[in-house]
Amino acid sequence: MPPDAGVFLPLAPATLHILLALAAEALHGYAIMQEVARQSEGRYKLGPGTLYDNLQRLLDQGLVQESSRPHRDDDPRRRYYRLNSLGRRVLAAEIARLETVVRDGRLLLNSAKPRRA
Amino acid sequence: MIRSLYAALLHLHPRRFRQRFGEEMLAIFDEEKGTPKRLTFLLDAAASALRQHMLREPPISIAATESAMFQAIETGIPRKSAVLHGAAISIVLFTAATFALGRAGGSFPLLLIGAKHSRPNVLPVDRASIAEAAPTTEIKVPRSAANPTTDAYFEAIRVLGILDADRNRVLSTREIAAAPQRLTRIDSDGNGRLSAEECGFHIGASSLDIRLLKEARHRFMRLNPALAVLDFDRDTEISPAEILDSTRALKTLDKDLDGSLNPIELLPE
Repeated sequence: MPPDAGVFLPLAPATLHILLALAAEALHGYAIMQEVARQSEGRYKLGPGTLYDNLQRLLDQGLVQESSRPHRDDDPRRRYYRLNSLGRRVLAAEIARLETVVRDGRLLLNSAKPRRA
Repeated sequence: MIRSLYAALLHLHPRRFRQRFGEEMLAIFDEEKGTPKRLTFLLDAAASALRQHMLREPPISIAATESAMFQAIETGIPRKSAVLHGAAISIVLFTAATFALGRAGGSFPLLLIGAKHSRPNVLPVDRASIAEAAPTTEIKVPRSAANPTTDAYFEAIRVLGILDADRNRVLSTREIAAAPQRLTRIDSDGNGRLSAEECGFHIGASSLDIRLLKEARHRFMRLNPALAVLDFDRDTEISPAEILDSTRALKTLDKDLDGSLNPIELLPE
């Protein structure tokens, strides 16, 4: 029986950004860092230590797995990572949770009466 | 140089993490060659090393299903020279500690394990805290008979001399029990009775008045406790009946009820 995606929620910001970066394709570490910076428009930058600390945990939890190298002439030190099915379900569950948070937040903000100065 | 520093910081990571991601982290560092990001990577690597050791490194654990009851951090066998050096250092340290403990007393002591002379600053003893307790074991020490007076008395009173078979100047239970048989040995005239003379009475002058001689015999038999109890009818002779009853009679002298007769109980007061 596959584990429930809900037990991994909520995701830490770094974890969420890494899973989002890997959502489209398999990437190596440096590419993940660049993709995270791109998605966050430069507001969120991962260092290698933070990146691999999270990757280690995601690999151990079975949300991410190592992938084969797509280009033979690539730097042999690079290793590629991709989301597996559990990682994809966890990412989808986290996005759904965030959508609920956003919707509820908007409702609360719209229903709140503005104070008079 | 900065790359070497980064590699050194990577080396500070736990082995498991370093083997898994070290090359990749160094590859990323190389990707940023010539950019200021490298400095932030140094700080990131230092923080990562701390994080891995303090938060991520699993504690040494023992699997419950395994039979091993301990786990060695290092599995290698040390070299013989290392073992010998370790032994030598241990001996030197132990000797130094022993020497320091002994020297703490002030005077230069012999190098001994333990205390030859007790010193209050080494082993303080609060004697007031030692509770007095009654001994639980009674040890009986035979009274010493190495007393010239006792020896002379036992030699003079022939009854005692013949009863004290082991010549320890104490009549044991066995010697008291054997009294009827042994007393007959000093019956010199073979009449079955022990006269005062046969019991040890002796007077040098034979010209003493008969009355005085009789009185002297009487005093002799009365003054010596063993003879006094044996001569129950006070006729200055120990009759055959009194010889047969000698064991019971002698037991009446056993004041401390220990079953034997010691010089204190046998000698006149």
